[in-house]
Amino acid sequence: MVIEIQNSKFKIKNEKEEKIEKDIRISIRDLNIWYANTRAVKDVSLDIEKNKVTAIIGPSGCGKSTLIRAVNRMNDIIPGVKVKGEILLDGENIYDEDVDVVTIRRMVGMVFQRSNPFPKSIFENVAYGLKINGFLRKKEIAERIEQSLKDAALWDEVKDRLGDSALDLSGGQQQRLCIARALAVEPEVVLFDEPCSALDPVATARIEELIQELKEKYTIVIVTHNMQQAARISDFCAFLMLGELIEFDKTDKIFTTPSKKVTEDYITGRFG
Amino acid sequence: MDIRKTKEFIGFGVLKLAAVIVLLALFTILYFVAVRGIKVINWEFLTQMPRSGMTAGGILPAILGTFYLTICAICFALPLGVAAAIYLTEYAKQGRLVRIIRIGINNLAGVPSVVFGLFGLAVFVKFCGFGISILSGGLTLGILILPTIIRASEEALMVVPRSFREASLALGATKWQTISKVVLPNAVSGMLTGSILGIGRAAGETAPILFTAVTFYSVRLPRSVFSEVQALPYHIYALMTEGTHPEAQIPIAYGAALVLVSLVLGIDLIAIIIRNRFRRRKKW
Repeated sequence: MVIEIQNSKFKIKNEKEEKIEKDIRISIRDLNIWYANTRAVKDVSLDIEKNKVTAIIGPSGCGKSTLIRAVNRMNDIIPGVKVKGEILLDGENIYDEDVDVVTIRRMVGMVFQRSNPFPKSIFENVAYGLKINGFLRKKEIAERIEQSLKDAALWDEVKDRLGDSALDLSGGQQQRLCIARALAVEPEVVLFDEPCSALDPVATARIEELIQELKEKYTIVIVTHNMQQAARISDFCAFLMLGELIEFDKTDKIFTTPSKKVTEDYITGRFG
Repeated sequence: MDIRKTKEFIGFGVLKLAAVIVLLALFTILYFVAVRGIKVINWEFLTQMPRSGMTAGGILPAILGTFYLTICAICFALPLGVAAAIYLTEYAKQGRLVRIIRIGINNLAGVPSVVFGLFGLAVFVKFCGFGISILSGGLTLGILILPTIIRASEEALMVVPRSFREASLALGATKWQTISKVVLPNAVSGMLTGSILGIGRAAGETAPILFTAVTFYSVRLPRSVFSEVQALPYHIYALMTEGTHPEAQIPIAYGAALVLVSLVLGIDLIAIIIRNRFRRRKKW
């Protein structure tokens, strides 16, 4: 019920916005990505709106992880990956030669499939991003850590044991810690690469709720293999298959009246 | 009895026997050295200069010499080896050049130690003009243990999960920040363990220091890195092959051997303790 109401609210809002002008944060233009000789992403173009949740769905191996990792250039660290095309972040192509990849990654944060806290204390985990980005004043760091942990809905659970090892947290808490760590450096965009695939339903629900709250401040892109999840939390949805963008539209449109037969087959569970 | 069980019984028996033989060899050596060496060991033996043409007195200069040589070897080989390992695993593009370097390093490990001695003589003693000295011997030993340190460090770096690196890079860390703040702290235990084992080997080698650092007898303790030194392995060798009083020299040689073996085992023990301590801390 709640979800339906929310969706209808967005619909009204979106229609309004379309009349004015879409507020686009990321614009992917004719993107192609190769692993050695296999083309994992084929001529994908799509626009990601500011302060919205955009979900990328599709069957395993469709290139959705590759696509999302292109947005903060994480594919750069995999040997043999070749990228052609453009990704404009606030109008600037992040694949331009004179762009500093470190700056891009600070602006575009990422939360990974499996939670990957450092084997350090909870405090140090969140402080890491601040320290490497030149924050040195203790008071400022402490304030930012508190804010990030609050934003990640973890503060109340850990405020009395910030010095404990992050590895002592539960799986869901670890993932929220990773979210807090990503938020601490104040990115504009947060990418989630199947953030709930290793979590139980309760922890998943908390993360989903959190993503809903985070879009107030951030632009969010999420890869998921869980269609219900995409339907629950996203405003826009991109359906990818074999590296091609089959359909991209508002989420309620994709899940009620998709324009392509394949999309309908996939979301109704006929394959995938 | 079931034929499969018989086969299993024989198989396990053979494997167990192999393990027992290995242990037996180690303990025989230890026992042999201990029984013969323990008689001469006392406080004086460890802290006095040799007297009466090496037939009496202690072995302090040889103990100190081995200590200095080993320290010198570590100071040279550890930073160099770790740096090389970081370059090879983290920075270098994995291609033909890196493959050739790796093959080179592995071959370096296979070079007979006496060849290192000759190399040290030609390069450090003569060409660099360090003379027969702690410096020349330490550098030669350093090169000898370099492959061990590089390989141990490379393995330690490679087991640090990629997810740590990704997490760091995704926060806007540079590659160097990622390596120095995330990868290295998590690899340090593995690096240390491997390196300490290499150090144990350096302490026990004779051939590399034969032409580069040691002397049979020195009146004074070494005063700088350019002094020649006595060293335990060579001291044993010299006592057994030179001099005219074997009945007085042989017990001293066994005493020195016991000290050397204890030293090497002690170093290995430290490696094990460090490894266990770090292992308890890491959970990934």
